[in-house]
Amino acid sequence: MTASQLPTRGEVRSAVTDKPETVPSRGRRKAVRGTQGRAGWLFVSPALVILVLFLVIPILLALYISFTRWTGFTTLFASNGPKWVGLSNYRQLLTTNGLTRLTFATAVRNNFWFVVFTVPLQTALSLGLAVLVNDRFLKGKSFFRTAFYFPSVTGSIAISLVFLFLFQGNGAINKILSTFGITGPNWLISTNGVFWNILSVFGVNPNNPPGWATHTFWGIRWWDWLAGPSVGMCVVIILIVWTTSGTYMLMFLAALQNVSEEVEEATLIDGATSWQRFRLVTVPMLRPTVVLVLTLGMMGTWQVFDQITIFGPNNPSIATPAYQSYAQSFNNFSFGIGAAMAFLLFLLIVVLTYLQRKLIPEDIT
Amino acid sequence: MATVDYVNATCVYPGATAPAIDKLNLEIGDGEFMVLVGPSGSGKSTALRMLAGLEEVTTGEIQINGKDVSSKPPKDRDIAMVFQNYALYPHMTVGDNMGFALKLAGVSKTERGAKVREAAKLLDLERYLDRKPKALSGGQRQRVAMGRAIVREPAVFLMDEPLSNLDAKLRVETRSHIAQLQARLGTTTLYVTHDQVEAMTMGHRVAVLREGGVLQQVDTPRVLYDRPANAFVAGFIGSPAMNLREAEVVPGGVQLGNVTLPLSGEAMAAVTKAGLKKVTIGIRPESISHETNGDAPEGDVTSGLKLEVQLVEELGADAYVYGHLVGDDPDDTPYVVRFDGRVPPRIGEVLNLRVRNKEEHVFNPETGERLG
Repeated sequence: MTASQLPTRGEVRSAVTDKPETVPSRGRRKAVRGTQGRAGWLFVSPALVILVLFLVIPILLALYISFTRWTGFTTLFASNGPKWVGLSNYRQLLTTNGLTRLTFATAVRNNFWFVVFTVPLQTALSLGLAVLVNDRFLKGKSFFRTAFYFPSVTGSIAISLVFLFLFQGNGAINKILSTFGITGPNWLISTNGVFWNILSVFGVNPNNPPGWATHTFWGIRWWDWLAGPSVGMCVVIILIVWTTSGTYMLMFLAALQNVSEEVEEATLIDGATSWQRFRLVTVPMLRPTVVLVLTLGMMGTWQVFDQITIFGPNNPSIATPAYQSYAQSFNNFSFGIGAAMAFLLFLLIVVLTYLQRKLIPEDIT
Repeated sequence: MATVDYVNATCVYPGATAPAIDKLNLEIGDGEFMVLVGPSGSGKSTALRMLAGLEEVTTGEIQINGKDVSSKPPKDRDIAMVFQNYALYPHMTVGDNMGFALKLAGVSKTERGAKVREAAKLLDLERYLDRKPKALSGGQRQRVAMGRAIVREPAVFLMDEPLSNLDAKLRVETRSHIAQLQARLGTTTLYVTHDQVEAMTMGHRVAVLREGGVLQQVDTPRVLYDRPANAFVAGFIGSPAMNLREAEVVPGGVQLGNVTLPLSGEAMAAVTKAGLKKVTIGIRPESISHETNGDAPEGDVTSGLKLEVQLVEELGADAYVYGHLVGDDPDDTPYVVRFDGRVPPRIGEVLNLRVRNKEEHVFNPETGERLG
């Protein structure tokens, strides 16, 4: 007998009380809902089991690990397994002065600049591309749509390797620059922040910061916080903007095709130039999509990992929290620290996403 | 204040072989309310959009106040348009929607505000100026769309089926409202509709188009009704539609059912001149009346027509009676007769009918042209 065949309490009662069938009693109505409810749970149970097994349990385990010291060489529940240390890992990452905190804070700084540059750039570029390929009079639309989307569907490792070759010290980019008599930097290895590089053009010595900038926050000098992304990180920014804007272009394209043609014509009649139409009508109407792309973009960019692994294992100027979490766990065998990093990153993303959605409401009407 | 002239204006869509509008010649006088009417595919919207600058004028030209505007962008034509789906900007308030064109034109904020309030007052929208379009009913949105056009004080109003999204009752109300507003503002107006009732009730003059964008007739509603220039206009104007039948020419008139319907001298002369053996005869449902006790008014054609009733549609004031003439094939398209709603006939009843004097229309069966 399956769950749906079992007589439920309400059914039994209505059979006993002998009420006319035409007027469903309260108990009977409840019984129908009960059976339906149980059938519903039965149908979603396969998905639910998979979610709990592969998502909820690992997350809870990771949370547990973040409060322990564990090398990963023992089984989880053995007597010589993870050793409970309470908030020690979090303290090491947040308050205790030392290499662990410095590595993590540096990674957060790197990623902060990465997000600050990547999210606006990829949003603007994808919107621009979408407007371009949405043009009624553009010829070869589907070619361009495919071309722009292509990087998004190519494997990130493959693309990263191509960029690695391009930006190496004697790579193609520097070869091209040298034909113009420019000696390119050693892109991926250069650790200097780009703002430092810009300031040095104006005669400011990056190695001699003003007094106020020598104060530290989270173990890092303000001078370093404000250095901007390293040159290597800029390459990662270019790479990510290039690969992700195709996906976001599709989202904008879908939204643009929802803007009614009549509204566009109304702007023509009202006398708007194409720039005015874009700024005053199209973009405001696309706001829900802009918010979506910003949110997805921010979540994605705070977790950048693949490209960092390829570009600079152990390069502190481009390391990100996601990468450091991995490195702490699998290179230093400090799974507790690694897990704690992952949870701090998770908290950071939640808080930032919440703030962003508060600041930019989605609804336009 | 403006006049509009279509001079041999033609529009061929890119990739299409047949024109959407074929050599349209139409003069719209200063302050005139001109209605473009026709079935779907007749290019009436295209004609309007050509004037708006949203469709290209392939050949010929369109003039506003005698100046060719065919190659000017919409904003330089001094026109305002009301769209079928209103095309309001969903992210702007009612006030901002109405003032958007003025804002783009660089009109100061205070002047803009004054003009928007003035238009809002005219349309009873003052209370809604700070709302977004989403928070308005269909009728209110329609008025905002009107307001957006009025605020600009354009030379020409263009309206593309502005009432088609309203329910029947509101449509009738808004119909008279728009006509009054136009009379008050005195702005030259081109109004597109597929609804011939709208066309007849609103237009000073009505232009009838048919498939392929060919203009059939431009005249006052009265003339369109009384003297349609061809069989198409005759069938399109009037509801229920005119009964149009091919009939054989016999001495003294045409054969209708098993009787002879006498034709006017003018029509008979034209038929003879064209040497036709058959003509298309048109009789409006309201031109046929029920003959009781032979009380026909002087001069009416008491023809002895007999109609066997197949269907009766009662509308309260009127009843539409569908049936075939005795002597005709019962499977032919039925005739429609407008009857007094208080005494509808029964199905199967055979009625004695007469056609009111000089209310029959005769058309050439090949060209469709009016003969008399």
